[in-house]
Amino acid sequence: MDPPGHRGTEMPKPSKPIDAHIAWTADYCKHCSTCITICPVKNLEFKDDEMTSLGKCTQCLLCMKYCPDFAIEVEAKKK
Amino acid sequence: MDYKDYIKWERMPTTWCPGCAIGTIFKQTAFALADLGLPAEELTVVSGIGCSGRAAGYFNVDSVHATHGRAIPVAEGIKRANPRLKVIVFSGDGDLVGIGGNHLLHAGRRDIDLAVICVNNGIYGMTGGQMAPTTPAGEKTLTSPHGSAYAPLNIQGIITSNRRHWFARASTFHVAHLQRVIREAVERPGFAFVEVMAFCIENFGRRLGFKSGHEMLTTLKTGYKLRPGTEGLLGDGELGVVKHDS
Repeated sequence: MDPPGHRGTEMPKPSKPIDAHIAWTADYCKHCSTCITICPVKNLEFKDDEMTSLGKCTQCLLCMKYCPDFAIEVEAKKK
Repeated sequence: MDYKDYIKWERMPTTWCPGCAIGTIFKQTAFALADLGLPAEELTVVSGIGCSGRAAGYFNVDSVHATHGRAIPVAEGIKRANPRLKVIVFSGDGDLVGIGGNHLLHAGRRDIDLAVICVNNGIYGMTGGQMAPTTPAGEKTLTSPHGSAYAPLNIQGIITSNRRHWFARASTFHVAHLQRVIREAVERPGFAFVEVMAFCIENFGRRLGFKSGHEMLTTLKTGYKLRPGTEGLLGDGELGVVKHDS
């Protein structure tokens, strides 16, 4: 039993940085390719089941907003 | 608060199919809750049966996975017993509108303070893609191989037939709008219903010839347009909010 007030969660599994701004978690990815097709600059690509970035990321965060499985995380642009 | 605080990470990855729309709606709900900064102790999620019913178990808040169609009565009981709680119902169209249609009618009539998020994919997805009350006319499903012969149920009509009402239609493609209406629905004191137009790729889309979830996502992009303002009812293919507060 968790003590009262304990949130009872682990943190997300460690993700792998694939770019200066993008982190990808292989354990969560279901290879649905939604992020690849939604990306407006065609930055993402699968290479042997591994997500790769072509270095064109504009940090629009669309892939992160659409990813149904929390597999891709993009750092927001600093204002 | 960060959206990561609202998710049970030890339950991830979810059981939903690759590219499923529910994942995006679940994520946008977590974003909206984080935006509102609601503490987990003041939040309860109730869901019914179906793929989207799984969401209750993935939120890191107190939650109930109710029996089929009975998500709204359970949520209403929670709200009446402890009015301090914000109660969110996250369920599918087959559960809320099909099996639990009567509860929806009366919860809307009584204007209970609930935020209902209805994932409308037009079929009973979990059981294999049978025709549901929300299946568009002429659409081929497992149990209507020659196309559905009936017109879909008008959810907007059910909700807006009450004097005080708040109804929003959003889609999985228009994520910014989706997040905004979920936030408004949770904030509104009274019955707030968000119909999210979604899709089921495995049990519906594949039968219609779609190759991936993203192909179905683009049909939402072309099929729906945002309507500004809250005047009058939403037409077919329009997303927006309909409300009346007095």
